[in-house]
Amino acid sequence: MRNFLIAVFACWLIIVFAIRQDDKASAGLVKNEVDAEGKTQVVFWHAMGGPLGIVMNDLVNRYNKSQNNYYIKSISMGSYDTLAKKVLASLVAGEAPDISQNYETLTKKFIKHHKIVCLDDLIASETEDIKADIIPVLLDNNTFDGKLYSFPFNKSVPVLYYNKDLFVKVGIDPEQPPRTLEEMVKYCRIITDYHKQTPGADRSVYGYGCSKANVWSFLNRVLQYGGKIISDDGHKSQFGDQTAINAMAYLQNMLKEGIAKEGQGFDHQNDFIAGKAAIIESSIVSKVYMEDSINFNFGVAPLPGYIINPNAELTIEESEINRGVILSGSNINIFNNGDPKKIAGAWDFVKWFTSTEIGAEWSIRTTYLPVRKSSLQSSIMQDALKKDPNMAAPYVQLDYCHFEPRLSVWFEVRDLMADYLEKATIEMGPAEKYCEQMARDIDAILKHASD
Amino acid sequence: MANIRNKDWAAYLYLMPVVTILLIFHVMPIFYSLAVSFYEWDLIGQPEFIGAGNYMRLFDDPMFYKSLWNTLYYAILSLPLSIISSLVIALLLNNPISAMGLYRTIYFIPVITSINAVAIVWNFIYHPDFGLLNKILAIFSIDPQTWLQDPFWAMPCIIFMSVWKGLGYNVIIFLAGLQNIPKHLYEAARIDGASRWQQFRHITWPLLSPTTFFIFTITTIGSFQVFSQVYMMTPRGGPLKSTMVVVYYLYRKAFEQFEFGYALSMAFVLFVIIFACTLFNKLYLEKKVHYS
Repeated sequence: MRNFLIAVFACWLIIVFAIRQDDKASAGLVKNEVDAEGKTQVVFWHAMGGPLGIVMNDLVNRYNKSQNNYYIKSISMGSYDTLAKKVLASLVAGEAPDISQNYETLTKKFIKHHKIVCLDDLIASETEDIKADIIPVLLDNNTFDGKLYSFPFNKSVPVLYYNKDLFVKVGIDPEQPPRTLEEMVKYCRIITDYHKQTPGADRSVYGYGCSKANVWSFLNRVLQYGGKIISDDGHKSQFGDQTAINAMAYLQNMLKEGIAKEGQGFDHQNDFIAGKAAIIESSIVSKVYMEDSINFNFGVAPLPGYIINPNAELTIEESEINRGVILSGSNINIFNNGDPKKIAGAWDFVKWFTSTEIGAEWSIRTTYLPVRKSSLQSSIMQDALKKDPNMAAPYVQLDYCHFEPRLSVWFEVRDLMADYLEKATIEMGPAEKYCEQMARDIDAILKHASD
Repeated sequence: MANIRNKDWAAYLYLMPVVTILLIFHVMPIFYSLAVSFYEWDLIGQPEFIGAGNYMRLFDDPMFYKSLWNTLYYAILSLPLSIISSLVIALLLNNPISAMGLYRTIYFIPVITSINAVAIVWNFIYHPDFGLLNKILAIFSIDPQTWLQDPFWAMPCIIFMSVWKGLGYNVIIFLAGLQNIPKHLYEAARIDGASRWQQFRHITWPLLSPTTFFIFTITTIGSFQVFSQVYMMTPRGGPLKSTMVVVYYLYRKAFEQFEFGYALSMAFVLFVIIFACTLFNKLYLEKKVHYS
């Protein structure tokens, strides 16, 4: 018995030791801990995991080697949810990180309670006009009451992924992804019908796949139909409008017809990889995760739009298509921890990370948007675009890119929206009904919101 | 006299570590939480005292009532299911059959497996397209269901999985209870010509009642606290919030919408409910228990 216990204990020790070593190796800390000596340490919390985390760690390591003043200690928190929880808990404990990724809603709370540094003060001492080079929508997204409080960091946009092989099979030009919402319905119908009616074809193949209760997708569609999300003063939602009703009914109709399917979580992406869903709507960042598993030709296209005033001939002119997409992803905050050296280090890192060259590399390797216009025009970006045309879709959409209202109650509102979107496709009642109730409930929240 | 006092001190010394841990990690947080439940607090700013505001809001919140009802539904369905099934299995395992150790191990494995791992496996079983359950139903030509994505089935699916997961624990307790029943009672009953059902009804069931009472109380408390499987298997509280239970709702309020005061007021209402249930069990049901 005693020998057995000793053996178990020894095994346990070996495993713990192996895990420790592995952790150290994967975080690249073994070597860098030595390098950190004599430098100001800046703690950076992020939520980049998997393939994105590898790129992040690589860039952080390069930054640490590139200069001798600061050492960025990057810590992955797993998910945005966990990150937000840890940041809040750390603020209560008075041990906040120096930099972290965050959503705008939290940034607003941080501003209110003076937890973060206003970046305008840091930019003021720069010789270069950084703000002029930031992509306008990203700049607006991070500007609060005229001041830049957070810095765009890893912003993404939604795109359409489509299976070119399936397009060819059913006789659709694989280089002509759907440009309008109607076209998309038509394509989905052709693809689904073909597989239902052709003997020997896989009957489980369908047109359009998306995830259940997808607020992001719904809001994109509201914009495409020419609608608005909330009123300018932020106290009234616009979900009672016809545009929102159209956006909701669009998906309901496709589901009713059987040419679209909703899945839980990432089911639609798995269906796409398996060649069952011909077209899906997802974040461009999903490309990094899906790419290696896809063994057919696929295309990445901008989301389709809607022709608000069709011309007499009913032809589709690109200029007449009303498009719209909404940004996702997070920004970066620099916390006011009272140490000017740490703040300077944090800002130096953010500046380096979003600079023309590094920003372009980050964008190419992760598909996140670069922060600067000059990154888009840089030669490495142009070369990469030539190599992989599927990369272009997010950049094209920058022209009509918006962001969700930055209200402190927005998480709550989003949650409520998800409930109604779910209800709408489970019960399949008239879209007017759900939109009306959704607008009423959301207005009740917005009325009491302080901002 | 001095000796006794010394002994007392030794006892206190032995107790100290555990009492310290309990004080720091249980008792203090409980009182701290009670205090915070009277404040509005998002962790970032200063807590703002609003008196009973959180509690007033709670009684106006339809989602809170829905989550209470869902929790009750979970408790009402899972309690008898788990007690009856574990009792039946315990009775079977109490017979002298071969490879008994193997069976007991098999029933106990789910208990020691992490609930998160179990939930992921059951997610596969319940998957509408390639789930095991639908594949089995297909053999009997029953139409595939969407299970966890169906507002009607989501909760029963979670209940079934939870009962399966907790089965082994209850079985072990029941087995211990069964072993405690003196064999001579059964012998006497057999001599008197009692049938197996009569033996169960008049010997096993009454003499097992302390065990049943214990399992009933523990399972009641556990089912009001159900969280992990809901969190893992039905993100966002299930289709049409059909699996939104109280603990999950308060988790969302606290850690996703950062309304800590509100979430804590919910926790205290839940505490009062569990306390009342347990008190009822203790004062009323325990009277029906035969301690031999």
